[in-house]
Amino acid sequence: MIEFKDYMISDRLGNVCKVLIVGSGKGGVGKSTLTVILGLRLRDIGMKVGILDIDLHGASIPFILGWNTNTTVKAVRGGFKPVEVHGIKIMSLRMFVGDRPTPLRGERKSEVLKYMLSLTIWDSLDYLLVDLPPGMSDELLTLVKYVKGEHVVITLPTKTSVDVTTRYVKFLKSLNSNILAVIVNNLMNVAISDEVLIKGFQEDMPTSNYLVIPYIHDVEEYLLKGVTPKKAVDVIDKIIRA
Amino acid sequence: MHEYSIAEGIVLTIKKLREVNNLNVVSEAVLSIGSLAQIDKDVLLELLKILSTEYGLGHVNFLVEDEESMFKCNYCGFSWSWSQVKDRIMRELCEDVKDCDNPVHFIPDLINVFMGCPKCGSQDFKILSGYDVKLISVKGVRND
Ligand SMILES: Nc1ncnc2c1ncn2[C@@H]1O[C@H](COP(=O)(O)OP(=O)(O)O)[C@@H](O)[C@H]1O
Ligand SMILES: [Mg+2]
Ligand SMILES: [Zn+2]
Repeated sequence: MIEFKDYMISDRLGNVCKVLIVGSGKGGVGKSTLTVILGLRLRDIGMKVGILDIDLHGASIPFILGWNTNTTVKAVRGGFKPVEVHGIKIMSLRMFVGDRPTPLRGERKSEVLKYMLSLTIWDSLDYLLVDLPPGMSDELLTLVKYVKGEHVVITLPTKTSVDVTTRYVKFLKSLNSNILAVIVNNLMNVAISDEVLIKGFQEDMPTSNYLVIPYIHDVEEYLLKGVTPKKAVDVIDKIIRA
Repeated sequence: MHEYSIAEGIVLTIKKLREVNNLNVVSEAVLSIGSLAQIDKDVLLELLKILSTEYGLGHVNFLVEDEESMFKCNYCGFSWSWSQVKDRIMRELCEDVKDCDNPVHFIPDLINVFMGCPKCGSQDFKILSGYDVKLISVKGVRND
């Protein structure tokens, strides 16, 4: 049997300049929030941006950007068009399933992701941002098999989060992936202890490489309106320049 | 409309296989279509014909086999087929529109989101066969 989707994926991503993959291994650390802020900032500076939401169980990009989840995807010649929200093209499983839960086992998830990759018509993009689910399961494994991108890693400034994220970094290194930046998201607004981070990352990441996103009051309101939170701009620009 | 994407994917793949295997002509391609994918066979064949000419493959004889989609519940072990539940599920997916564009037509693997086991209702079931369009084999004449 010959897998025809494999041959379509590279064709569909042919006009995408740069792919940034936002991940952590850990859940609830701000992956989706960072992905959206990155997208908004890139849009602000005139880039054509797409976001591919591959968190198949907890898809949240459309929700964060205020897209009405009751409208469904429409087929066009050759696949589906992403929807455009606040000047960013987005593709998410939400566009197929609406508000239904998505109980999918591993093999199904890989296939669903391959369909999303092989049928989404992005046209030309300067940046495609990929929002990962937590964990190192099918979504991540299938993505890195088919899509060569650079990685943005995010963690909370806590021992537990750094512990999980360090193993995620190890996995990426085993694939020889390029890690653009490690982001420490201070969403609980605490004093960041260098010790936690230096100890956690010293083996796999030069500690000087981590960047801190401050706590942003009302961040959800900003993103819903498609406004880049000012407090994040410095860090985001450093990631973009990295 | 979705048939176009499938046809394009298949023709792209055959083209790639022709290059890789150094084939002068591709004479035959065998496809299997799972019933779950709700593919309009005539439309697909017509598009395959048009696209193989467009992509410079010339005349390829496409053979299509139908495969019934079969399911088995991971929770209670019950097995069933697509034809047993098709009418009901399609009504739920499409309401009154005949052969509507629906998520399962686009991505058959999403059936778990839209159907439950007829016996126990669980959405945790396996697809045993026939969930997708598959390119089974390609025949041609080598260049040497
Ligand atoms: N820097 C921040 N300041 C304030 N709240 C944040 C910040 N980053 C994330 N959040 C909030 O934390 C929660 C989890 O973030 P989310 O992006 O959904 O995490 P993940 O995608 O890793 O699961 C969300 O409610 C989000 O609004
Ligand atoms: Mg998320
Ligand atoms: Zn059952």
